[in-house]
Amino acid sequence: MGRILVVDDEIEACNALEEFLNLKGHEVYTALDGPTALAKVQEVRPDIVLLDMIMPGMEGTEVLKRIKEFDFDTSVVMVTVVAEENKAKKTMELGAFDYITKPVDLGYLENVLLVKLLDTAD
Amino acid sequence: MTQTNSTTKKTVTTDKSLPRRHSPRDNARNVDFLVKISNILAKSLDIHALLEEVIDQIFYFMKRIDRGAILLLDKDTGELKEAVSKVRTSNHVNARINWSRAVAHKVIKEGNPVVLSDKSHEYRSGSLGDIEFDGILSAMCVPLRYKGEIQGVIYVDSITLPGGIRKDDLRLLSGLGDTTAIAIQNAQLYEDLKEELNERRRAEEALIKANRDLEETRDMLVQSEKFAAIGRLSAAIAHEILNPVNIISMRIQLLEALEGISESIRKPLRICKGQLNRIVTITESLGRSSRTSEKRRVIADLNETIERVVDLIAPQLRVDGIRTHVELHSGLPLIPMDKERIEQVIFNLVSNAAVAMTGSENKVLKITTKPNPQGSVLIAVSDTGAGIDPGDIDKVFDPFFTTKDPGEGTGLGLFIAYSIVQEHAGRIWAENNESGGASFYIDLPIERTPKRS
Ligand SMILES: Nc1ncnc2c1ncn2[C@@H]1O[C@H](COP(=O)(O)OP(=O)(O)OP(=O)(O)O)[C@@H](O)[C@H]1O
Ligand SMILES: [Mg+2]
Repeated sequence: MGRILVVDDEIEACNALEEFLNLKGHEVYTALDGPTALAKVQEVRPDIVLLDMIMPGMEGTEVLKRIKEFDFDTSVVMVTVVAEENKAKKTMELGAFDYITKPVDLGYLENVLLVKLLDTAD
Repeated sequence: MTQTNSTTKKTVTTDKSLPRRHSPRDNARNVDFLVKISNILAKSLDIHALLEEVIDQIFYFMKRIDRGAILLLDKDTGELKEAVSKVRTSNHVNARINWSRAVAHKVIKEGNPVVLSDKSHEYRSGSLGDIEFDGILSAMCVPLRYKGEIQGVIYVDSITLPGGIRKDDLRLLSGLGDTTAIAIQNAQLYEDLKEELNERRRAEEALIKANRDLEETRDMLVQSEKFAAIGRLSAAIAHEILNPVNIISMRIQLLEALEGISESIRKPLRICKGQLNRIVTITESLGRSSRTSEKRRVIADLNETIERVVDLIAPQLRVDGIRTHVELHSGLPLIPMDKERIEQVIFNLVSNAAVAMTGSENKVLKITTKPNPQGSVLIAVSDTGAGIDPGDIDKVFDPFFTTKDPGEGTGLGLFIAYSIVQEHAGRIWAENNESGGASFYIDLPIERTPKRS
């Protein structure tokens, strides 16, 4: 299916997402912070990055901007809490493909990913 | 009496010329008079009552005198003012008598008593320059002196009995002048004291009021400070709580996705998910109570905002059997507001009203707006529900205060409303109304006031 990079400063969040996405047959990579995520993006050229908005050090929005600078064919889906929804909406202007809110509804996440992957498959 | 004759000839008699020796009868009379007057004066602290009493006693002791006045000197203007004036034949206190200004002023100026009798030279020649002597057979005027300072005069005269005034009368009146002066001073001190006490009482009352105002303001500040702090904290907490909740939630979803799971496991998983949703609802509401940026405020029509909310929930209200009356003032000024947040406030109030009317026979929801002359707009949301327990009226805006069953309400609806109204520098409060239901009022300022520093 797709090549997906999960970025979240909480390892258990990464693990759960990785398990789920593996189950769905994706190729999953993880990163616990922004700089690692940027290195991974360059290294594995993922189709999709699941990017946590709030992380210590480099914020999700900043990571998004840098990824967009690479000009790779990489889509970014922001992961956020409802309180930050307005900020999340703004990331769409910065080039994010979509955003989902925590707690993540895995079924919904799968749909978002599928839409994107089918898009790029065309 | 030879003495009398010599005095009357001299017209103006000063007390220096008065003989020191008195007859026993005179002494008895004088002592009686002065003692009596002193007693009265000592007791009397009301200047006017006191002065009136002085005149009455003069009438009683000096049968020749039929008119009397006490004139007090206004220290500021130098004017001589009639404090009392009385005629023997009348009970009238301020009988206007044509006391001789020339005589009174002479006494004030020179500080010595003056006696005029019908036989006196000046009186006959009119050299005192006063035309008010008509019909006055004799007159007597003594200074009211306290510690060397002249406060006024006692003026008495006779218009009915000829024969002049006995010099004994003058001595008596002079003595009376001194006593009266002291009494006036006492009464004045008393008046001053009373005024000072009144002033102090007024100052105390003002202080008490200021204190009360201050306490109220402080309570309000503490309250809004508390809420603002909770608001700030809430956003942070929401994030901190939602992260672990997210992980638990994903784990549960992964478990549910496993094949061959028995119902005995699915059921507790469902319960766990339900409880997680509770946590999510609370934390998301808390997050909503935190401040938004000023930038989102625009000058907008409150009526439109209210209409939008009402349109949105009207179908539900109809299903609940609630009649909705919306009376929006057409001349309502526009106000600076975050429309989404104000919608949220109205929505929270309306949904509370709907819940409160669940058991009511007559379900009427009334929403009104009107301008407030003090530069604000007033929104009222009233229902015919069960009302608020008087003991709870101060608590309904507290976070987590709810009378709903556990899991039913977060107790954050009104807290969020409160926080949002605070952000708009407005006020929100609750009252029970005549129909037994509750009314919620919101007052929003028209001016874009900077948020409390
Ligand atoms: N219109 C009303 N009439 C009577 N009581 C009210 C009304 N509105 C609020 N209250 C009282 O105030 C309490 C707090 O209201 P609030 O909206 O903050 O929370 P809630 O309604 O209990 O919970 P939630 O808003 O999450 O559903 C309510 O539980 C109720 O007791
Ligand atoms: Mg409520």
